[in-house]
Amino acid sequence: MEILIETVSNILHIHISGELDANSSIELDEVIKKAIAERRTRIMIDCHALRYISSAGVGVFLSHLDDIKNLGGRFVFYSMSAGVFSIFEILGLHSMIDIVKEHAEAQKIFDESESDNGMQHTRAGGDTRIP
Amino acid sequence: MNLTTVCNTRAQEEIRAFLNRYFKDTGLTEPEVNQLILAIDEAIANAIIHGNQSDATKSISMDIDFSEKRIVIEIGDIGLFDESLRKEKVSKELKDIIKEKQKGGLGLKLIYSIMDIVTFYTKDGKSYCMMVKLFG
Repeated sequence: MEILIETVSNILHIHISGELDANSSIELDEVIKKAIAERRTRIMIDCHALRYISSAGVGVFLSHLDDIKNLGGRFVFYSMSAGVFSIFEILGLHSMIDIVKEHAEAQKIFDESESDNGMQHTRAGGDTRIP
Repeated sequence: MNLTTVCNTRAQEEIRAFLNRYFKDTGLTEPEVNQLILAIDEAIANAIIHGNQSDATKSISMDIDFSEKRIVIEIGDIGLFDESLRKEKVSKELKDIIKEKQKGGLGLKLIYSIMDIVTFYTKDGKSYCMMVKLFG
């Protein structure tokens, strides 16, 4: 599994590729913990290269869901394959979290929530690659 | 088909790749294969992490008996299991899992959702999980 992180216009983009299971989900957990500690809670998850997710991977997102919401943020997942989506569906999570088809739809959700909150765009830079 | 693996979650990606190859010629659809692999992966993860505390000196065995009408998967040794804790995990509501910031507890839910029969038992001093999926 590989995780690529970038911050664009106040949104943390997490691109996950490969297989997210009991072993690799530990890395993802650290990434999200760090983001919460830094109050970067508007998080977009790019799943286009995510081939597999087990309950351990899903559990990482669930365990941080309340903290993210309490800090005014959210997870928005996009470009999820049918196989990965089915796991969220089996658990009944597809109706509890934002899962959209494309990046543009994910962006729209954040744009709308930002205009609702009257927030201003700021640009943050830098990216990190975790092997 | 019988497979024995080291008791370490690092081995799971290779097990999934092996299962993908095994199921390729069974005639099952891609979603069926994906779900079976997921259920097996979850059962093995539970056996490694919770049943055997990731003790790499131990091993986990898996027997698969596949026929046109059903597949039977037996996984062991899954270590000690607490039946009441298992029932509690399976019946726990998602909203409570989120509220309690739990990372675990979803694997059994997936297994019970995917498979038609799930049983746990001991045999010759070892603990096993047997999962059955009926076709047609």
